[in-house]
This record gives sequence, C-alpha cells and structure tokens, in this order.
Amino acid sequence: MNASSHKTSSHIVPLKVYLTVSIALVVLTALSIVISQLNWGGFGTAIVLGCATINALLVAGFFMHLRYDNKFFTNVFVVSIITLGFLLAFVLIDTNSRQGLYENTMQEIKQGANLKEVKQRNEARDKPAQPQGK
Amino acid sequence: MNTAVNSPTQESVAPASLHHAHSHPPYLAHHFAEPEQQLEAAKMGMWIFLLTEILLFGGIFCAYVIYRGLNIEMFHSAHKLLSVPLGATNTFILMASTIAMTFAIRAMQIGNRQQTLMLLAFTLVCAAVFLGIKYVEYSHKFHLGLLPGIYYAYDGSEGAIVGKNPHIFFGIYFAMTGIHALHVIAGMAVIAWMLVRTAKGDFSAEYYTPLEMSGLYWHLVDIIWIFVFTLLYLIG
Repeated sequence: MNASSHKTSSHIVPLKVYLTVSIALVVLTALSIVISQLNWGGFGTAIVLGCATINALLVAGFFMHLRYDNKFFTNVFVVSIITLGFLLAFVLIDTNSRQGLYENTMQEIKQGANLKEVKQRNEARDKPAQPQGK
Repeated sequence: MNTAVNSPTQESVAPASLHHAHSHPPYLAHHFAEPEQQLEAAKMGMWIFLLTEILLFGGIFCAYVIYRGLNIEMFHSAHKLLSVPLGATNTFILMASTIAMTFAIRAMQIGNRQQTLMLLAFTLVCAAVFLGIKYVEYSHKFHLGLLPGIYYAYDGSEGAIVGKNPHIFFGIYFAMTGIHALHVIAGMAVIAWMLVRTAKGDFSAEYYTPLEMSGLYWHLVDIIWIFVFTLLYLIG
C-alpha cells in the first residue's frame, strides 16, 4: 500500500498488460490441447499440467490483482494451496500404505463386481428375517 | 442513531459533532473509518471465501488423484469418451467471459459505465453458452449410460473401456463438472445482479467494490475449470 495515496480505487492495470495476459492464456490453452492429443506420455502430461498451472497463476496474478494488491491476499491464496498440498500428501501416504487392506476386504470391488448385484445382496442381507411358514 | 434513542437531550448535538465532522462518501459504511479500509476488509472477506472454495474443489481433486492412481488404465480409456472439442470450446468460452469481466471492471475504473454494461452482458452470455454446451455433453452421457455408481449402464458402443470399475471415473466426472456448473449458475446470478446495479448507477470510478468482488469469484471459477478440463479431458 502506498501510504501517500488516498485513492479509494485500486491500481488501474494498463490495457497492454491485460491484452498480453489474455493472449498468453489463449495460446497456452491451445498449446496444452494440441500436446495432449499427441500422446507424448508422461512428458506430455507434465507440459499440459504446467500450462494449466501457468494459466492459473496468470489469472490469479493479473486478473485477480494479486500482483498489485496487498501481499496479505497472496498469502491467503498460497495458504489455501499449501493446505491442499498437505491434504493430498497425507491422503496419498494413507492410500499407498493400504495394500493389505485392499487385498483382504476390497477384493470384490477390485475384481470389478457388478454393483447392482452387490447392492441387492447387501439389501437382502440387511433386511430383517422374514417370518417362516406363514 | 442509537445515541438519539438513549439520550434524547443530545439529539441535536450528536449528529452534527459525530457524523458530519468531516464529509464522507455515501458508499462508506459507518463502521469504517475510510473507503480504503472498507475496500481492504471486503477483499479480505472475499479471499477467505475463495480459500474455502479452493479447498472444496481440492477435496474432489484429491479423490481424482487417489482413484486415478488406483485405476490408471481405466481412467485413461474412460477419459477418451469425453469430447475434447466440446470441452475445449467450453474452456475458450469461459476464458472469454473471464477476460470480459476483467475489462468490465477496468472500464468502470476509468468511468466508462456503458462499456461495463456491455462487457458484463457478454460475460453473462458466455456463461449461458457454457452451460448449454455442458447440457449437450451431459445428455449424451445420460443417453449412453455413462453414469456414476449403480446407474452405470454403458455397452461399449463408442469405444470400450479397459479396466475395472469405470463408474468411478464418471462419479468423479459428474461431481467435478456438476459442482463447477453450480458455481457457474451462482456466478451468473451474481453477474446479473451486478448488471442491474451498474445500470442503476450504483457504481462509479471511485466505488465499484461489489463489481471487483464478483470478478474475483468469476476468475476463480475459471481457474478451477482450467484444472477440471486439464485433468478430465486432456490427461485422463
């Protein structure tokens, strides 16, 4: 924040900056679509994800004014990404160490069981027993 | 004011001395000292709301990462049933709307209300077209039986899916795109409201905070779509 400024409105970004960012967004999106169709494997996936990340950063930095605003808002944005990183990291550690569990109890789902049949069987199992010989 | 209710004798003194000691603009709420403080408070509230939105979608992205890791082949063959041309068209349409929103706010910053109105209307039309294309995609999936859970009934007529449990992919597809579509609908309501308020002359080059906050939300919806599109349509 500029202490000497008493302006109530935000910084007006030059038209040229917005136009450049807009063109970059369109070009990067087109590039990622083309590369995804070329079957470059892991390398292609990395480029496509990189394009998406750069696009997101361009929108956040210029269109959402993070570059020009109080750094506090950038911190809020970064904190949300870090929190998401923790969520992903811990959940992945969890699911990657469940091999034994899946092999024992998730066998049916792993083998591609027909979900309708499983549901019907479970419903039949959970229904209270019918009185016999009525 | 409360002071007037509590002590009627001060009625004639309090308003003059407390509230009109210095002039302030009509948009400044009385619990803020100056417009700049009000703007920063609004932005802080908005960014914290956006943080919760990022975490909401983060949960679904997390589900995507886990199930993709467990079913790499199935995800790759199932994602080929999504239409890249339709998805790409939607990406460019949403990008056009988010760019229009940026220029709409900039137009208001330089005091060009007519241009703001036009650009907001364009943003709204883009959002509607986005939802229209989404409807075409959804109805095709419904028709083929490419649905989550027990409703999955695909017969392989448009290409076989390799691997087991393809309904998981479509569960994540509908959760991701469906919640995003709800955000687009909410965004349309907000932009329509901004259109009305701009037309009524509520905003000026000095005060356009609601417009700016709507812009922040709309840009985040675009950022999320960039990732939804990349993960589901492009990578699979």
